[in-house]
Amino acid sequence: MDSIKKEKNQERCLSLRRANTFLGKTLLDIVKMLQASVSSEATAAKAGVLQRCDPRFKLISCLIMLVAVVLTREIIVLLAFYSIILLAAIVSKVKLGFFLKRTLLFIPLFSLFIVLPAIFEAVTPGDIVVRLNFFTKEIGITRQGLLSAAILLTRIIDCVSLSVLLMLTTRHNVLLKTLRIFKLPSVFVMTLGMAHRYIYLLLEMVYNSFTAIKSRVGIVKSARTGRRIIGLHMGHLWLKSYKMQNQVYDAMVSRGYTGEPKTLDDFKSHPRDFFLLVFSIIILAGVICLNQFLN
Amino acid sequence: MSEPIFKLTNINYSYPGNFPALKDINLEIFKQEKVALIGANGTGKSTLLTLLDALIFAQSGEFSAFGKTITEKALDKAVNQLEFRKRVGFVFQNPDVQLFCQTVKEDILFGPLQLGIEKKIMLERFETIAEKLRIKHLIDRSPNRLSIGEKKKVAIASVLIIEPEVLILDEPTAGLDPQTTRDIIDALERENQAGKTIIMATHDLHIVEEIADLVHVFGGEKSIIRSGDVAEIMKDHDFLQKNNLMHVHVHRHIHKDN
Repeated sequence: MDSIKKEKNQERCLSLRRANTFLGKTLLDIVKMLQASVSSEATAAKAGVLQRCDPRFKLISCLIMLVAVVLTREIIVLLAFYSIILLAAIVSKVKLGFFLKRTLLFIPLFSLFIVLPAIFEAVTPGDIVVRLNFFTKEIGITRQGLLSAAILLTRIIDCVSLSVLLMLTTRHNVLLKTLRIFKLPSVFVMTLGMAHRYIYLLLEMVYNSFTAIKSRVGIVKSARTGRRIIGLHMGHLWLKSYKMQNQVYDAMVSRGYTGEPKTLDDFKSHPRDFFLLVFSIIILAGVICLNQFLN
Repeated sequence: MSEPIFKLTNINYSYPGNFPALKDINLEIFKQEKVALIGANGTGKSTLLTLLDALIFAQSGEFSAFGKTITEKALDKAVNQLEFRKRVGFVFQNPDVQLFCQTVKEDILFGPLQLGIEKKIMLERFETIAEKLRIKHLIDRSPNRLSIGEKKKVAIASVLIIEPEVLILDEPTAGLDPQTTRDIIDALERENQAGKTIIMATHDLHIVEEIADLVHVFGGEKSIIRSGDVAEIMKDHDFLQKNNLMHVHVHRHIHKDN
């Protein structure tokens, strides 16, 4: 009887430990995310080709290239685009493994589930390549379906890679600043920047508080206590951020803020920036011409 | 004697919910003075500094700065607001609230940009201050990636660049390493030599003698209980102990009973 009780108790302890590590793991992942962000900032600080470009030109060129990718209907051209992106990543001193992990691991995997139905004859009729037995029914995979799925997937990979490359080779703050070229109000851009800045600070606070709780409480003994601690903690964080928000506003007023922030635009363009822009325009024009030729 | 730059007469301030924070404060601060406000936690030092920077306004009493009465209504006018902000700079206790921009450079330039200081002058001042405070290597970094000492230096730089006549600092050296503390003391000394008035709240009695001429001591009643020359107050250990500013040094001798 005693051994059964002991076993049950052990099981309970283990499950509680697992629940506790779940929270700890989540916070650790958040910290990892912070570290990843720091490492991407380090990439943006390297003296690579794209890092040296004016961010305004880089952003516009990236948008033009994205349009070109979206308009492309040939898989060969899409693959050529991908080669250009990889080459750009290499000359910009972006670690290829890190870049591929960021671009190929999750987003294309999710899109794979979206494009999957397109390969079947029910969605894309055409020449059957393989027939599959699905319970009592037979489903065929078509060549046209496979091709359109491959085109869509490659297009997604190209778009994701382009955006990630832009993010990796440009500092967050500079990227936000470039949004002003689209005539976004400076207060909007500044609020975005402040949100970015304080999210990290609050995350750090959460992590530190969690460590403090862990050092005092150890393993949370029941789910109820756990919920209570988390609830109190959330309330405390809310109060802290509310207080901080008032102080930040005071700090802004103290330095002359009167409701409309004034910001410094210190962008400088070089001939290489125009080259980047012209290159992307030529690519877009080439894609449009190719589409017309194929039609 | 010249006119005081700050004059507070019978100032009372309570936080919402009727929590008194300042009671019957009478104070005069003159140009180029170095004033330290000392007192235990929660005695109203930070509240007084916030009031001196016109971020809060007293419920009763009169506060005048540079010969003009400061009220919420008077500062509502943009001209008065900018005029006051150009003349008074405030370094907050928590540098994280003061560094809200994406990079150190943006944070330092925030004040001059809002106050309409000419770009060329602003950038010249930026170079000089970054050099003096030894923060040149930090200018492109995000404040998230700075140590507490670096944050404090940047926060001070963000106020010094405005070149205010009065520099208000809340616990400028709290929790800092000796070298950073020294850098900050030196910077404040330089500013005072250049004609600036320094007002600061601190618990750090070690630095008070170095960076203040005059001390106002706050008591638990949220009012100034004693004012006077720094050397005279620092010598009065009984008074400092009574007001939680100094503790009796207790130590054990290992071989005492052998």
